[in-house]
Amino acid sequence: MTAKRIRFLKEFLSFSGIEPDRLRLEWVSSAEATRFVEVITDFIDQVKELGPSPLKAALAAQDLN
Amino acid sequence: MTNSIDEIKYADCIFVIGSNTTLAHPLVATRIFQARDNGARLIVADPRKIQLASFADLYVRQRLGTDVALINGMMHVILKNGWHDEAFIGERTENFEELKKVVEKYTPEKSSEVTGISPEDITRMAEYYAKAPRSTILYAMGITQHTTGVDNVKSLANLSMLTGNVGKESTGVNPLRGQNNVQGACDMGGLPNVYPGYQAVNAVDIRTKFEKAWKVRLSDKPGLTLTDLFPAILEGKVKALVVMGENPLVSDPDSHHVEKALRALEFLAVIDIFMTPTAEIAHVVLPAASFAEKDGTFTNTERRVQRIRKAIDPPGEARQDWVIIQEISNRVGYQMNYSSPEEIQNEIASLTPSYGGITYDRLGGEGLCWPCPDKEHPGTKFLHKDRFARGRGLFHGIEYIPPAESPDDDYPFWLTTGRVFVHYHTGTMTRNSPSLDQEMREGYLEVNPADASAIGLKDGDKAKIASRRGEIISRIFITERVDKGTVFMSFHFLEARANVLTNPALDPIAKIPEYKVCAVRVEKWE
Amino acid sequence: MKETIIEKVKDLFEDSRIEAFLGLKEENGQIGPYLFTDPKDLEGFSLGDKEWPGDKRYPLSKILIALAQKYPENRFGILVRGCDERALNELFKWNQLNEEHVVMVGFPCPQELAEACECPKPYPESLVVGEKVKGIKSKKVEVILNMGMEGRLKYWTERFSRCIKCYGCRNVCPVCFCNECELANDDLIPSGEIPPENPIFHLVRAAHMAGRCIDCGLCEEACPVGIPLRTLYKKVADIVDSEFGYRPGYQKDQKSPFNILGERPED
Repeated sequence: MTAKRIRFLKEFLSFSGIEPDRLRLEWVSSAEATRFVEVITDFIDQVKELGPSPLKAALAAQDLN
Repeated sequence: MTNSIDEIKYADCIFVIGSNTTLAHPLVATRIFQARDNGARLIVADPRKIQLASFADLYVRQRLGTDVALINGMMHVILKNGWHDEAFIGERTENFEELKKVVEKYTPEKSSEVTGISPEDITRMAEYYAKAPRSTILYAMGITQHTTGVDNVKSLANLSMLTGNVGKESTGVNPLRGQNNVQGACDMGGLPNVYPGYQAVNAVDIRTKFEKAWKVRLSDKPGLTLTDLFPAILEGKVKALVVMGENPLVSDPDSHHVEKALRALEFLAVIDIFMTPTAEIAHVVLPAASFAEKDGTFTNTERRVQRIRKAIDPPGEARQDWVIIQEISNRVGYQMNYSSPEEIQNEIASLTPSYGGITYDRLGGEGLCWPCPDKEHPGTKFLHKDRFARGRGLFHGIEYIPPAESPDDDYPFWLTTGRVFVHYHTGTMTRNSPSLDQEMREGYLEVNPADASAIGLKDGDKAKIASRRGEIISRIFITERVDKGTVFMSFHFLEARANVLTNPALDPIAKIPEYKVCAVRVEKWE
Repeated sequence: MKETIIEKVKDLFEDSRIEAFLGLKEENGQIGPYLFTDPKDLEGFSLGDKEWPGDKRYPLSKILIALAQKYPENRFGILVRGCDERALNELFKWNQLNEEHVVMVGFPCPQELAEACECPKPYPESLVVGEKVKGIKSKKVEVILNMGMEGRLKYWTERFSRCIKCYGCRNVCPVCFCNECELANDDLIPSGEIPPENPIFHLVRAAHMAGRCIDCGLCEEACPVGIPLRTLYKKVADIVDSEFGYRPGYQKDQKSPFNILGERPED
């Protein structure tokens, strides 16, 4: 159910013009410290690659028009 | 309004000046957005960067009180480029030479020096407005609440006549009136110099007509304006006052002076739906009925007379306005025996030419726009179609005059006042609404980031704001919405009463006070 | 069509199946909601067409909630289009109304209105008159999808920037019934500013519409600044349908997937 909800949110974000890759769902147990680090590091890299959120620029553009 | 609200959506160019439309007149803003979605150009001129500014093709920020210089600058450009409507000027107007002579001096460069708007932007404004097939002007209190309020309005009228943008569909000079029925109140003679339908009190035939109808001797002299009233009380010329649906203790400029005057009255009666600060100091308070508790008509900003119908009974001892007036009148010696609002409407029709054809049986559905002189007349969508009320439209050559008060070393900031989106006037109604109160519980002073840091203020800090009239304490809100050197405050909140600060200097003709400009000092308060 | 409906309502009164009927009435040149308590009043009965089909629609189901709370013992008849019926079906499931106390009197929308609404089901099951009109697939959602990511963001940013926080979309919504609205929670969306936080205000509302919005379009009609809310919520409904196989208001016995915890995830 959570997986479905996340898929819902990703498509919803995409329709709003926000990259769905900025949202990720992973299952990590409290015993899996190494995996937690891997997941977070990887997500940070992914977000860095995406660059600054387009939202800020879009809002600024709307404001100045 | 010269034109009707719905026509705005078919305009090709909309020039909004001194109106925070989305916030104060959202249903007019609806038409602006519709027009814009249809490809209309939008020009917004406002000292504050209001919500609508971010949708404008051109947004300009004029210095406070410089509208005449701005509009003269636009007209200079229009004339220089031959974008004016010669046929319209020739057939429909007079005194064009005088306008030309004055406007000649207002080059974009000169206009720019006064207004702070670049000459290029002034030229673009002129081009957008003059070259569009149908251009309309929307304005509100940002134009009128100045010592040059009448000059500002006349300048807009000049601009519209110069380009032939009046007397046609989707054009015109359109004041957006504030209260739902302020148009109706003025139409009914709620002004010191006229009877209903703007019929002058000092015209003999008019006076005779009303004397005959009302079987009473009437004065031939105009009364006092609201702003002349308070000095007159202190001079002992006025001893008793009835205040109806107003809260002058919060709404009028220089509050301390107003309070002194109200307390000096021998008798003060207040008619309102809530216990306002003004009602608190009254000798008698008469509870009134709200919109849902009365029958009658409202006349809105597009001159549309609409029926309102009572849905519930007024609570407790509250009564409908006409009943209160009739009861007071009967007790002070003039007998009134109206049995219903409809009977009053019939009398209005019999004495007011522009309302002559407006009767209850015709007011189903959408109502009627005046002038509606007789029973067959369908009402008037837009004014001045083939002729102006006075015949030809009169151009006025108008020189720029600075506001009554400008910043100096003691009071270095410009203060301008206005509204916030959830509150209405003195908050008598809106601050009593839990959902609106929840949205905004206290007032604030808008300060530009550069000014805030120079004074050493952080967002949410408290500041002392002082003018020559008095001082108040308010939280500050740091925002680019106001320019450097300018601060803004709403006038809704008794605890931080902006009108303690405002300047009671008046427009010489309309006697409207300069709420939109005064000089203040801002200091950190702890 | 109107006459048949009036007859049907009269029968309901005569058979003592209802004590009152919630519908529309034309009075003084205006069409508005009206609670008929006497079949003799049905003279001014209206289907809500003034200048064009369905231009005077109201969230009657929402009014019914207030009536039912005040008169819990009474049974009400109610005039429904396809969307009104879907709203009622949801309200039954969310326990806002007791189905046993409500009698729906349904009529189909004309093709013209169905097309303007891009309505997938422009008729109710409780049809007492008329034909089942063909459903329409939305083109407006496609138009926005074709704008591309950047275009979509620009489009929505511009539209949401118009918002004056009048809450018209929420207040008219037949399936908005929360006692406390998170949109008015100062910790989530700062109060006192317009436009309200962009895009959070509108995306929060849209997400809340998942599994709930019955696509009546009253929100978009009520919006004074022309935000295409219906198109936004149509897309939300499409995603919910494809992920969960659920369309709000269509099945009476199926609950919203957002109202249940569901099974273990597969992966």
